[in-house]
Amino acid sequence: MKNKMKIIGAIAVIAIIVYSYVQVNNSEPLDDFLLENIEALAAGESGTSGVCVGSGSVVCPLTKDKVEHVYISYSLLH
Amino acid sequence: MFIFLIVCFISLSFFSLSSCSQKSSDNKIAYADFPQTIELKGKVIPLDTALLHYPFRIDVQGDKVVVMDLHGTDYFFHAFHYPDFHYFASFGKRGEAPEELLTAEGFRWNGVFLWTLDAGKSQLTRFDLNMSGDSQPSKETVSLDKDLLRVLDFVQYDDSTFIIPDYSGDNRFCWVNRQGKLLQKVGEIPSANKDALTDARPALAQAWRSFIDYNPRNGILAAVTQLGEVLEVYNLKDSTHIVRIGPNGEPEFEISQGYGLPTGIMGFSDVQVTDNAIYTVFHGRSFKEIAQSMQKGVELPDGGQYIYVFSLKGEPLCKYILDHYIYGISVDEEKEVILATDVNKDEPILEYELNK
Repeated sequence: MKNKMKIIGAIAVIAIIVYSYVQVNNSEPLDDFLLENIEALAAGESGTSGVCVGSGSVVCPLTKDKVEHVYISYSLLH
Repeated sequence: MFIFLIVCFISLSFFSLSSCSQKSSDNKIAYADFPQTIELKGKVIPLDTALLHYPFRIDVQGDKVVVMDLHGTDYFFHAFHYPDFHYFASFGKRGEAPEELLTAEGFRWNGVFLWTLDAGKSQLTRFDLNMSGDSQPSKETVSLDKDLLRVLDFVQYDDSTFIIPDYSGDNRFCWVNRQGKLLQKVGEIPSANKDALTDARPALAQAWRSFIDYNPRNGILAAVTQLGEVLEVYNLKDSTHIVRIGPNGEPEFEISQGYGLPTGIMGFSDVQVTDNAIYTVFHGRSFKEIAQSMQKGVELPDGGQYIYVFSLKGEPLCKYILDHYIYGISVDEEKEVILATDVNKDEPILEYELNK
């Protein structure tokens, strides 16, 4: 009886490990915009913000326009 | 119980080893300086037209040269005869109509054809420059896969495949077929910023926005970062990957609302892989300096004063110091000539002779 329990236990553990492995390696890619939002939240952002000015070659992260400079302003956290 | 523990140990070992096999090997090499520094004086090429606002890219093919105007008001692309620079056509009309372009990010010659990239519409457009008179070149449009985030540069790997930097941050490059469909995503941003790689890949990808070039003759794909000072060399023939990091380090950025706001320095603005070397345009100006000058009302020249030349393995070979601040280059190794664009001048096309 004890041996049977051990074998069943071992099979259960292997099944869990194999299932986890398959899930990790075949996971569907998340929607990029959803991912972006999740990652923004996860990044624990502070009171930093940017303002894009001028005309140049830098892609403004906020508007996607090509700008000369991205000013960064900082606000104190409460 | 003993058997149970052995089974668990074997299973966990298999799982761990499988995960480890995906990690890349350490291939990052720093460079401090160049063994040779040469000052060059450019010759201004007179143009018979004054229609360039922000000439960002230039490239020669046979008896034609095309200049891309990043902020063109009517047209993004202008064609001239080469080498006399006699103007003959403008194309890639700016606008929202189906046959017009919202933006222009770059272009690639393919024989007599020219592929152009519009990030706004997420489209590649093929123009035929074998036109006569004032007629517009005929064209073909390829809509890029919706899974591709904002596409900011591209190269043609072969007649049926394009390579595009991955702007999502999940990988480094996307392989796309002639129909615009995403075939595969490969590689990883070679950043040492593990926190950003874990928590903020989209912001990291924005900061690591890179310009790329590919030479099918030697299989070298080179990528340079617009921020910071990183050159990556991918040899697609032997599958090796080398990362060269200059004194200014990786792209620096701050995260705000999920976006990567650039700090640090302006790095590279163009790259060309020739048969023997990798030519890059380097700026090196800090955003702090740019901000301080703007606040004082002082307008700094826009562009890079340096052309850095690396071997096909990314070893620093030569640093050219220029008398102009430039953006795009077109290198002719045989003639030992580099054409360059200067966005600060009304006469924006320059020619540098390397053997002078």
